[in-house]
Amino acid sequence: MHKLNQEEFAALSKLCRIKCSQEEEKILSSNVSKILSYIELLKELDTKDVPPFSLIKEGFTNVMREDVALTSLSREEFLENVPSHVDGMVKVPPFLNPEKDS
Amino acid sequence: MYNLSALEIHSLFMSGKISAVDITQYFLKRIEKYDPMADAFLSLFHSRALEKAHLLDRKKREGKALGKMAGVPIALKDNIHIHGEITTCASLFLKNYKAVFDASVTRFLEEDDALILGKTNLDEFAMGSFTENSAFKKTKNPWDLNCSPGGSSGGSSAAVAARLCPLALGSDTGGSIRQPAALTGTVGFKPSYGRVSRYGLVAFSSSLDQIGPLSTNVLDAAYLMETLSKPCKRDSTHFNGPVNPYQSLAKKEIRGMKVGIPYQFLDSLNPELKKNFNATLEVLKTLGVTCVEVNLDLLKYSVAVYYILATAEASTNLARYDGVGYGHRSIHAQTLDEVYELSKQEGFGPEVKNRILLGTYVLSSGYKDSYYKKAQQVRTLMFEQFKEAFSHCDLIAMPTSPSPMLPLGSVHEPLEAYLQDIYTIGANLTGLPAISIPSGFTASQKPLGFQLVGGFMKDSVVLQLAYHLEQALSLKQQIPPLFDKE
Repeated sequence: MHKLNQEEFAALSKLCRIKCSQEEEKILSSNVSKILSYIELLKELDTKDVPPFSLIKEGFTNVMREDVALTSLSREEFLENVPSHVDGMVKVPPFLNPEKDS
Repeated sequence: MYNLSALEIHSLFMSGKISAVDITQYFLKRIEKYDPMADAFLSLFHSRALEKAHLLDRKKREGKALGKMAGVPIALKDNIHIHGEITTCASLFLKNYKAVFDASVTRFLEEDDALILGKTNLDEFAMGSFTENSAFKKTKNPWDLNCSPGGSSGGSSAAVAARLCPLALGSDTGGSIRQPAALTGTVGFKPSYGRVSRYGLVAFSSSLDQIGPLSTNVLDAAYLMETLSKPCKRDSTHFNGPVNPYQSLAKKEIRGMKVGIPYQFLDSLNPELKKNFNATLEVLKTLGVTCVEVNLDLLKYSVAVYYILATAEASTNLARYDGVGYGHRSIHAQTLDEVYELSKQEGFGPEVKNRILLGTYVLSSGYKDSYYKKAQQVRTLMFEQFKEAFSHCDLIAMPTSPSPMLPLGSVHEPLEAYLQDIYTIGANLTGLPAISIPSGFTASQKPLGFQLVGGFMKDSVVLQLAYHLEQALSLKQQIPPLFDKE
């Protein structure tokens, strides 16, 4: 069974940008490991030279529309959903915390 | 009025026997009275629906043209956008998110004059099989309030089963329309991939998701499909074929059709469910349909393939929820990285996190070929096996779910939950149309569902056989006793 160790889990949650609590880490790590073991089942199948799936050959054609500017989202409507904004701009904390990271 | 079909309600409205306002008020009152028991709805649109109803009544008085769904009440799963209304996806992350555009299906329903009553509960971001992963409430199965209605379109299926509205929209990625339909004794249809526009459906797994109808009978599902399958230039995966007259196609003769059954794959099915499945096949035979055996042994890999592909696609689709431009933002975030990490931590439930982690893992460098590519290759093999099966039959029959409704809180292990989808996932992986219709009950009065899967873009053939089978089964008890009253 492929069990994720703490380091692997930490790297994975960093990739996902999710900060998990220690308790969550235990449960999630165990769940992910169990499922990874289950999907090893696919190793039984010989897929040599099998192309990855695509429905395109079943009759789909590319749907492209005219390159014409249509009504988009107004700034006012956009800002209604923004958690923090100032002067019509989205406000976020600094990339680096001046006290911690400089 | 609660035991009328959508088509009957439309007919009553068009003939002037009942007004749109009366229809709307009736169902809104019924929802207020009974939804506290079912917990199917997340939001109701009293003023919006009544405004539309008044407009329809005025149009009728003035002799103006009315849309083909005029006067028909419908509910939408809360992962489908209605401009100006909240779309939560049953997630804390989007608790206050106001949709900034209409989904194409919303637009089609409004154009056809349907009456949208509200949004229904689901598993968070459509990830789940019991609607228990909703951040807000647990929907109950109208046949037994201690049981789950299935998922992830549990709210829509419960609303229709309890006759709180005659129609609802769900979305199906691994069985999320069909399985709750089976567990609540309703009809649930997943169209062929690309048949219904996904524009405005919050994406979970882009190569698997499809919007489809939940209804009390097959003809209503066919009726709704005529509206849903209208052309859309905003979804690049939309097939954009002609809209088929699904209602009239459903009534075509079925004598001489062949149904394929993957007997080997159904070997381990619960005996009571097997008995019901076989009894339903016998009914098909009385209609002049031949049953043949087909080989679909690759279906045993479907859960494994699905949980690689769907989680991979989900991890990409949910990356956008970063707390910056919309949705939940953690008040504790002191840096930009913390905006992402803490907002996701606080906004997402455990199953969503589970799937994002898994999906990220299978796509990460060093693993992508052995997981994602492998799964896509197995998917091709499955499609080819289905195609081969369809050279021997017109449709494939299987039970919808390996078990009837389960008590709320009874399934804790993710893998155990995932295996609930064993019979439904195949149709999503291969893009094939599939329906679940009620096929009877267990000895303890739990609804059971019978599933039909058709060839690619052969949606009308699925609806056709389902319609005739439904007529022949003529199940006497269709409405849950608790809700079978005014």
